[in-house]
Amino acid sequence: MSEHGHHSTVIVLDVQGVRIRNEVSNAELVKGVSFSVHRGQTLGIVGESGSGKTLTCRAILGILPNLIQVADGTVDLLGRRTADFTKQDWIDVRGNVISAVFQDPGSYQNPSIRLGKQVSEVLRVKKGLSRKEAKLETLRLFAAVHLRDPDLVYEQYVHELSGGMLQRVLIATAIALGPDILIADEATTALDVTVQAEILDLLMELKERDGLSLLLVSHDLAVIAQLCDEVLVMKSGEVVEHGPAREVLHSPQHEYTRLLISEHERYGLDRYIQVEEVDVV
Amino acid sequence: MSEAHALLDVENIDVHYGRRRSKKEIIRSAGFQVGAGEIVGLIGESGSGKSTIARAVLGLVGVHHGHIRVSGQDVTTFSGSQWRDFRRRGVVQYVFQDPLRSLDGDLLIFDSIAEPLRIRGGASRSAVAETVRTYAEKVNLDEPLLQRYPGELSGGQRQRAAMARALITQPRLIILDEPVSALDAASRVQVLDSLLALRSDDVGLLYISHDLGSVAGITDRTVVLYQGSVVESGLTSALVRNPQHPYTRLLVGSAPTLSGTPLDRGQRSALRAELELLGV
Repeated sequence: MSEHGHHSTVIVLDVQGVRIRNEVSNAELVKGVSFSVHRGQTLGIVGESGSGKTLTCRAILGILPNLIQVADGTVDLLGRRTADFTKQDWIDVRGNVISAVFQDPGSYQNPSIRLGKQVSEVLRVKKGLSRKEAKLETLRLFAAVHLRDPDLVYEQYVHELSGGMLQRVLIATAIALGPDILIADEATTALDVTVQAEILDLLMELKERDGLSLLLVSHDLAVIAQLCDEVLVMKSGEVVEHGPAREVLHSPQHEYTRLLISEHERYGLDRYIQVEEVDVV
Repeated sequence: MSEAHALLDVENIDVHYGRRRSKKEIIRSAGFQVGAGEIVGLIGESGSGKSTIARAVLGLVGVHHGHIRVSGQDVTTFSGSQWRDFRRRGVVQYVFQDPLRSLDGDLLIFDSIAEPLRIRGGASRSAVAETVRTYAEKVNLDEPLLQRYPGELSGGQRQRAAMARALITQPRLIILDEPVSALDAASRVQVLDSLLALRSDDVGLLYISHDLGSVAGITDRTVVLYQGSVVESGLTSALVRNPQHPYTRLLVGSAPTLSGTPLDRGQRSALRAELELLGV
């Protein structure tokens, strides 16, 4: 694999032949997706809206919308088949084994509860920490995601924070229980580029330090290029290309991948500059 | 470009919200110009004051110091009736980030685009229909789409409909506030393509965005706003290749490209520390 790849051979997430169907219209929305993610590995999924990226993520998390069902295929988390999970199994697994961060962090927090409480609550319920321990652990997590004033943020409400800060709180919540894999679905899309860089740096740090595996969904090829060992290109519910990120993004085989790259280059920074040329230091 | 020919001349403006102890300076002596035929990018992080400047140009927030001139007219001294007249003429048009919110969900796309003409009055039904079709064509909006509602269009199609509606008044200045931020890559390319196709000698475009990629992709000049002040401006190509101010260096250095980011993690955190020391 790529130069990023010092990951182990433990397979954290294994997705095989997953098909997702709309029960009402009988339309097949995802037409057989297979991939696996090893410990400490980062896999990227790219594709336009409607390509099935987010549905695949939701199927993995067991949170597909009503009437949309996994029609075929298997999802294994640390070797356990999620199709056999009971409600309690899901409760045990979410946060501990698998966690997720989506776009628009504001809509995933309760607007009327202080942010610190929302995170420490999770730690009390799921880890059985005392009030005091939970608060200390929350402050540690806030510092770990580079929030500048953890004590202040602990006492703040959703409306008092910027999008970048909220996204960091959400990541702190997502990693609070030390999951094996984090799904980040367009998690940095709405952020300023400087803040996005800070969040991506943070994810890389978690991957290197704690061996966190990442499933990164983004329509920004440059973000994928920066973080991912492997990349999966989806179009209309199908995987059209799958391979090491460097190979897929630099010598794409499929016509659709080539189109995505040319679209990116047309109005991206790449059109203007080669990294070596920029004199910023 | 000389000030006499600037379509939009923002001269040393201050904007603050609140008063006395709760007074908050949002814009501090910011100045820049947009000439006819030019696409100028206004870039900055959220909270830097980009949209406040746009709102000041539209007369939606008051300017406490300095002047804003549109086609030579000082709009900062306008009375209420002067603003009404100015808006009715449609000299300045504004395109928002989310067209689903800015287009009336109960109106057909055709009617949304036609609305400014009907408000202005004086055109026959067939003349209005003809003009709507002409402008829809300019932004590559297929005719059948005109008979649909905003909810039935893709994000990119909606944004192009919003652009057609802005263009139909034949404005001198169009302000686009994050027009592609909510779109996926394919729609983004379509909208930016239409934007470039609209470039003409009589119109100036102010393109507001936090996305360096699209700013670098379509603008002639770029103005960098940081904490309410213009910290750097110049030809986009030069600014991207050789940024001067620490914020611009961080901005360019953070932007991912297919061949990596121009700065590594350590260099980025060093620049962040430098910026904090500056404290503006």
